[in-house]
Amino acid sequence: MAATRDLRREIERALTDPTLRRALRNAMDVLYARRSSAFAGFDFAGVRAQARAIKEESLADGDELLDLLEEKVTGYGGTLYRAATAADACAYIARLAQERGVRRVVKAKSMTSEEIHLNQALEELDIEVVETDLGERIIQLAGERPSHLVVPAIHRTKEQVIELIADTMAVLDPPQDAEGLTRLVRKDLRERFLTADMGVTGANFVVAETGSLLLCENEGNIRLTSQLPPIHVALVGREKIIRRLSDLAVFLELLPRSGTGQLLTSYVSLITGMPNTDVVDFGRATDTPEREFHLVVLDNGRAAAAQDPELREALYCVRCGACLNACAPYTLVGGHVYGVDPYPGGIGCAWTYITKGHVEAGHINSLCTTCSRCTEVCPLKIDIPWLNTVIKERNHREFGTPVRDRVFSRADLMGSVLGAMATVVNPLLGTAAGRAPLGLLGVDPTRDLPRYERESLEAWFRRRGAVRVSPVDRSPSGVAPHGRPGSGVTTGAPRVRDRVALFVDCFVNHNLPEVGKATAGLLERAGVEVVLAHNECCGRPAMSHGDLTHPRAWAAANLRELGRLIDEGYDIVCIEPSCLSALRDDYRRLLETTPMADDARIAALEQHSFDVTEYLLLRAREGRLRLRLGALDETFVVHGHCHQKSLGLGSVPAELLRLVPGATVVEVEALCCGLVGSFGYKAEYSALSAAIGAQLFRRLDELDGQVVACGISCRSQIEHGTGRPVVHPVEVLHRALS
Amino acid sequence: MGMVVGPTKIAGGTAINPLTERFMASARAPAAVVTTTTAAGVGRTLTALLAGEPLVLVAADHAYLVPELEVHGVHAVVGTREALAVSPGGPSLEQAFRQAGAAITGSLVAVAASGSVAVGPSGGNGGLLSALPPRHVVLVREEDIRASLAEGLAVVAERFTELGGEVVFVTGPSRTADIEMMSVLGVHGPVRLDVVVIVGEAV
Repeated sequence: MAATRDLRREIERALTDPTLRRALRNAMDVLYARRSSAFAGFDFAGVRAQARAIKEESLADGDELLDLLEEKVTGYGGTLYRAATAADACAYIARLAQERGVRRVVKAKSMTSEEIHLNQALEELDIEVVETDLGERIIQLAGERPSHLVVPAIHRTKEQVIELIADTMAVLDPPQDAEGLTRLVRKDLRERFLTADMGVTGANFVVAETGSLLLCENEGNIRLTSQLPPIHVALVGREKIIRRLSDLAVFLELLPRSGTGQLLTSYVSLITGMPNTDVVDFGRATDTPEREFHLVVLDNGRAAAAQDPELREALYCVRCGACLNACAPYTLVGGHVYGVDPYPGGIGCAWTYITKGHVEAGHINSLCTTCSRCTEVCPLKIDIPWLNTVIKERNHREFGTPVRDRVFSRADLMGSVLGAMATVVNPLLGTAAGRAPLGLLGVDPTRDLPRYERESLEAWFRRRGAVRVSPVDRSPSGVAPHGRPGSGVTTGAPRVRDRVALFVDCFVNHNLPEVGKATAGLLERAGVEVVLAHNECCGRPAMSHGDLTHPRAWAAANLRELGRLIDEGYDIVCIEPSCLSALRDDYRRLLETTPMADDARIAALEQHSFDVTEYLLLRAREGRLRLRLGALDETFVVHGHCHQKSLGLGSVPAELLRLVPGATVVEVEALCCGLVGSFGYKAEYSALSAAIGAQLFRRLDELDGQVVACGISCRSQIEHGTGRPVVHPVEVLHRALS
Repeated sequence: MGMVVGPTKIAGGTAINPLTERFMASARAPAAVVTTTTAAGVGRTLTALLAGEPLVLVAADHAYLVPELEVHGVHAVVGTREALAVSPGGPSLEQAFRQAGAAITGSLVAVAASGSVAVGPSGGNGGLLSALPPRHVVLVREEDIRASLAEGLAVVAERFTELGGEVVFVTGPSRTADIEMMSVLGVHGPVRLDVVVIVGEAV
């Protein structure tokens, strides 16, 4: 448990560091906003599908492309070296430097070079290595490692940079503004560029058919690094090789927008062979008039990952960092806590696993809450939470599963057992003293836990018996978007059916049956036949605790049961958004490497499963929501569920509420509520969960009205954090029924 | 598809077509200084922009600009070792780079969507000329403007075998946001980028 305690302390240290908090909050807001405006009006879905296709080809043809690349590089007089490991790459570059008598190396920003610890290898030979990217230079002066993929010194404030420069550059009266600081560093680095013997860069992409490197930058340091010194060494991971020059256009539409919110970076360099520039000599140590170009292509676990069907998607990563800016834990604690040298964040966990191994990856793996906001913004649509789930499973198989994780992964058992004992359990779990023994399990006893209901939703349904539903009027009528009768009504074939099978999730069943009852009541009033599906747990709690075995079995069973219902003409409606996300997003991946894979049933499920708010809204848009909703002259403050957002349904609950006459609907902006299933209940993460929630609570404090949220996590977190009651949109509509 | 569609607007006696206008607006957005001129007026425009610079380096494939600049009082030399070697009393390449306040190059293609200009070897040292001096002045012919980056890349790809070395798409001056996300112009590359668009009839 030693690693767990350290992580808890590191998290707390980060959360209580006001400078770090200030620097991160500022940067995250700016990056997130810049990215959003750069992608306004952009066909994100279409272009990222194109990008995925190129990457897929790239990985499939990896060996052939590497051979083609080598042929081209050798053809123009360069040398291509295939480095098997980090040590191998360092040895090659170090040997080259030694043989050429290199004394000074200028370096452009390269995460790959950080991965192999190149600077250290060169410095051990008494070679001066100068980082030339401003952010990298700052952390080099500070003796630190980068904490973000794109903005390495994101964790540093201007004041800290001033102090750093004053100390390390021995400047008596340092400039106080960013511009002055930059001028100072420009002047200092210019001399080093002009006298360097070797320049080391990475590359964003390498084109096999021409042997070209593509390098994107804003500062101009990469160009100087590659052109001024007579020896240019480019270090790239082998996953960066693509076939065609024309492929670059697709990535250039995505990468600058994702990384820095720009249409293009100031310089996009296509380097093929050695620059045909004169070699300038401003007084360097070596006397080499001949240019040399060395392309070091690094494996270090990538080839194996390309063969691993569960992990290969990590190789699609183009290092834009957009995922970090959308990650609630990252935005609060930064990359030094949520990262293992040098790759930060959720994607960093996968990269650490691939390049370093599972022990290191395990140390930060569980900071990923699996909220999926990262996948939403990833230009290659990498399912980062899935990668982390797979890694967690592998680590658990290797090192065992903690008891607490076993308990939390069985929401179904917790529900049925604790539900049966609700009269005893609720008072016990309702007090801190009663919860104290849970501390032994690693659960934070100060957190409220959800109440359990004695009578489950299933039991209520059985007791109630069948409900007669009036025949459905097939002509469009009834509720239309508020204020304009008949407007917003879609024409054409109906998207939703008149028969619904409610997916019985573990939480609506045992903790919030009232939401299930309101849902059934609402739908039946609208003339929709409602039955309960006899489903297993969706598997999400188990998946997030590194168990894929139970979820696979449950998924296979659910596909049969839900498939049968779909065939009989039912739509599957989920009340818990996280369950829907498991069905729609995870089932395919969960089963594709097993004999239980069933493309047809999965496609049918993807087509005929809905969030309850989505189902109702689609019905309303088709003019088939026959409900007489009375006026509710109230304000509703809606908080969006992370999984609804990642399913593209972020605005649906609010739109649904706007159908209620007289309702004022306000949407509160926040990254995440912070609870995310069981994340916030765990002792080492509860402070982080509370900090994430605090950002939401501050905004809620400014807004009066009834708080509305979907899913048990957001509801529990907001109730616990603000004391205000929270309801589901369906409960509001049910109340409005006259 | 990016070809000159014919003049639709008259400005200062010279026709500017919509694609060119779009390019100019896009180039201004990331803080490039954009000027228009005609084929006949290039020398005059450059002189006006560069008066006061101690030394201007000119790309070898635009060597014809040197005498015109010199005549108007702007001290200019071709920025390659070979060209400088011709005048024994003149500066070495290293000295020239130390003294130069600006460099002039042409361009291979320009992209209207992003306001970018592609600079190639330019007869030698195109890369250094567009990277080292604090100012870069780049000449863009109207007929070389394309709508999208994909089209721009296609133009570069067509001429690939002759190009080699570096082709760089330049969008505005150099910049950084590494200190508290504050945008600073002028880091290691040029502090100022001048884009001079040659409109009207092709040379």
